[in-house]
Amino acid sequence: MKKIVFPLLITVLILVTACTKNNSKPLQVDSFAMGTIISLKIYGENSQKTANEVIEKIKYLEKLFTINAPGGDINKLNENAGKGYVKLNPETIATIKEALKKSVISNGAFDITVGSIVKLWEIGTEKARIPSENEINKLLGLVNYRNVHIDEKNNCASLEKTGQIIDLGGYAKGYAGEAAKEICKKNGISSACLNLGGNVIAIGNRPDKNPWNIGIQNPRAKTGNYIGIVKVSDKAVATSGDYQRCFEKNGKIFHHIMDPKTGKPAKSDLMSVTIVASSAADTDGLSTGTFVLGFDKGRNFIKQYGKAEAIFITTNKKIYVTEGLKKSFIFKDESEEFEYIEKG
Amino acid sequence: MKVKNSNILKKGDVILIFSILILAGIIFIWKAYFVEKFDVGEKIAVIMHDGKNIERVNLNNLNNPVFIKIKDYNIVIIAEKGRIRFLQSDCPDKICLKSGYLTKCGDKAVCVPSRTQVVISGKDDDEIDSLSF
Repeated sequence: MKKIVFPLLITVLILVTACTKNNSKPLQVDSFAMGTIISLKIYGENSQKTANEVIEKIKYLEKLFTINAPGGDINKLNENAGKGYVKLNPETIATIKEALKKSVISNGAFDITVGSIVKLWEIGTEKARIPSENEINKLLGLVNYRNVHIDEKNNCASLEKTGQIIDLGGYAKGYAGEAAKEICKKNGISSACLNLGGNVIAIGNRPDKNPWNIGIQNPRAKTGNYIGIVKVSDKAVATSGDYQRCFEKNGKIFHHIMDPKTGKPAKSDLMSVTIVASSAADTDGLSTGTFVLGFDKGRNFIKQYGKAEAIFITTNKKIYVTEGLKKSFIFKDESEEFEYIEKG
Repeated sequence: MKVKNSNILKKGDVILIFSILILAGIIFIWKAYFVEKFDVGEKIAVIMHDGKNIERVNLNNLNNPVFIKIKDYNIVIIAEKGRIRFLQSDCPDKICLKSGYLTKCGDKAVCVPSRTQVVISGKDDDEIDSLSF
């Protein structure tokens, strides 16, 4: 009998001492890419391998999509605007295609051809300035997602007009988030929380089997202060707000989310909007578009879309959530400046 | 007929099994509650630049401020007793300066243009797992 008892007890002891540790400590990796900080929290076996692969993938996509450094597919497409089709990486084609879908459903409130306007204002750089109406009007004719053409069979794309510039800034993190999720799945990761510059991809549940707690930034407080928590499992969460990249001139604040119709920072009655959906590719892009649309139109847009939920924070400091988030959103405003109106 | 006793647990075996199970239970509870929950330790600020940890400062032990300088964008970080912040930066967006003081474990401030991050490490007892901003 002792032959069985001893190995059995030793196994019990090993399991008890090993299990608690593995579950409670994730691998945490921070890295800079896509003009933002990438923070990965991954539990379980293969976490280091997964983190390496995710970072490598994001940096690879950054090289394809960037317009802030030479080279890459989007630069190639922009440089050839008005000159016909250009052969591109299939991933670039897939990203443009998905981004265009968001432009179509938001009726142009989100538009990847807003690049020339973004470059004109240069918000978030040392050269940020207020351009003249004349300068804006000259470029507005170049903003039109319908001028982007894709030949999927041959992995080619074209921009109809000379000078048109695609900027994937409002969409690339969403696409990268989906790619990161795929890497996690492939490596058998069932619990991870990936943060791509504020775009959160929650994979599975926390190791204690509870949903992930994602804080929603208080748009009028320093980074890290949140106005509430949304509890999610297997969901992506993205926020667009007027507080991130902005600059002040003559006492006025100009934020970085451009309205493709006016060529100016969107005059939204929202401080921020958070989108919660199953796919990161849905959240990024939709959050920008919804912010531009403003509260009333944005709320209808999300309702019609049907595959996403939202948290709206209006400029008069009222918070609304859509039906599907009522149970999973916890209002927690330490600043006591905001009011939670349940009906979204 | 004589019944063989060899396959039945003896009194000593039962005592041994129970004692080790009790010991395992004690270790489990000790690890789950005491080690994990009270493993707060010291408040260490970790400064990361270009993907590498360049400085670790124990904020509990500071009597005089410590200045950490980074060439990119002339960044200066000030560490004081119990807190740390970006003090100066010539970066374009100044988001790092707006982050203010970091005081709790898990607090983080980032300067994307200079690829610099300051985080207070230690037991992450925050009630959120991540932040959407």
